[in-house]
Amino acid sequence: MEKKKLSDDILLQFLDGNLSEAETDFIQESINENNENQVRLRELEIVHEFLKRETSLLTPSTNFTEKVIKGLHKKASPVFLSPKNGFLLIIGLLIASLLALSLLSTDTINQLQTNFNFKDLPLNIKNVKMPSTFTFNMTLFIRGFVIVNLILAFILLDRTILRPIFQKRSNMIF
Amino acid sequence: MITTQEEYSLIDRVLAGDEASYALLVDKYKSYAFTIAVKILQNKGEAEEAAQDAFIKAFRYLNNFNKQAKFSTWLYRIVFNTAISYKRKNRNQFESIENQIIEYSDRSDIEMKKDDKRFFINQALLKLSDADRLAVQLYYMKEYSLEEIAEMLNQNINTVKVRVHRARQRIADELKKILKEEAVNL
Repeated sequence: MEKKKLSDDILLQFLDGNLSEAETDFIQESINENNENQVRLRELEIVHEFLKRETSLLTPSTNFTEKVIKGLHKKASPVFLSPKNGFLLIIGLLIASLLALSLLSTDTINQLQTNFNFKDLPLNIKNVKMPSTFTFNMTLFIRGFVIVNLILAFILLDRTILRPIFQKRSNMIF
Repeated sequence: MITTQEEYSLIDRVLAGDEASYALLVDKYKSYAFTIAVKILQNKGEAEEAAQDAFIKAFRYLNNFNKQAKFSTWLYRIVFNTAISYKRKNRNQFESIENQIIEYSDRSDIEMKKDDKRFFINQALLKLSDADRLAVQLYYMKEYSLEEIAEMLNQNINTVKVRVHRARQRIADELKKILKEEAVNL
C-alpha cells in the first residue's frame, strides 16, 4: 500500500535533521514508497542545499571601520534633490529656456536694446570716474540666460537622475 | 575572539569616551552587519552605507544598551531597521525608473540563463518579504539560534519558525512555477 503524502513541514524538519531516529526512518520509508513525496522532497532539497551553500558572510570594503569611526561625530549632511524634484527642476529650466528662445525669434527683442547715459543721473561724484554710456544688449543677455539654464539642466540631470541610477545599477546583485 | 564579558567591558570603555574600543566592536561585527544589509537591499554600495550608518546609530544610542541581550543581537536589530528605511527611501526615489530597468533585464537574463539554478533561486528569494528572506538567510548562517533571530527581528520565536518554513516552501513553489517540471531535474 502506498504511504500517505507528507506535509512540507515534516519534509523540512527531515531536511533540517530535527527528527528523532524513529521518525526519520518512518519518513524515509514514506518517501521511498510515495512518488509525490519524493518529488516534493527533491524540490525542497534544492532550496535547502542552495541556502546552505550560498548563505555565507560577505566582506565589506577594507576601510569600513575607518569610515564608521570618521562618521561618529559627523552631522547629517543636507539631502540633495531627489530624482523627482531634480526632474521637475529640469523641466522648469527647459521651459524657461524655450520661452527665452521664442522671445529671441521675435523682432520685438531687438527694440529692447537701450543706452544708459550716466551723465543724466542726478549724481555729483567728482572723484569717481564714470563711463558716459553703457549699452545693455537684451539679445546677448537672453542667449547667456539660455546657455546657463542648459548647463544647469545638464548638471541636474547628471547629479539627481543619471548618477544615482548608474551607481545603483553598478552595485546591483543578481 | 572576544567573550561577552570582554565585549561588555569594551562597551563600558566606549561609553567612557574611548572610541578606539568601538573600532574593535565594528571590526568584529562588520561582516554580519554588511551581510544583513546586503540581504535586504540587494545592493552592495547601499548596504555598506546602511551598515556604516547603523554602527554610527548604535554608537549614539550605546547608553541605551542594557546588557541583558547580546550586543550583536541589539546591533543587528539596528542594522535591520536602518536597511529597511534605506530600502523605503530608495524605493520612493527610483520606483518608476527602476521598474522599467528590472523588467527589461529580467527578460534578457531569462533568455541567457535558462540553466542557471542560482539565478532562478535568487529571483525566487527576491519575491519574499524582507523579513521572510532575512529570517531564512540568518537561519542558514548557523551563527544564531532561532531565539536570537526572533529577538533580532523583534518577533516571536514561533513566527520566525513559520517564516523560515514558509520562505523555503515559497522559494520551492516559485522555482517550480518558473521552471515547471525542469526544477526537479536540475
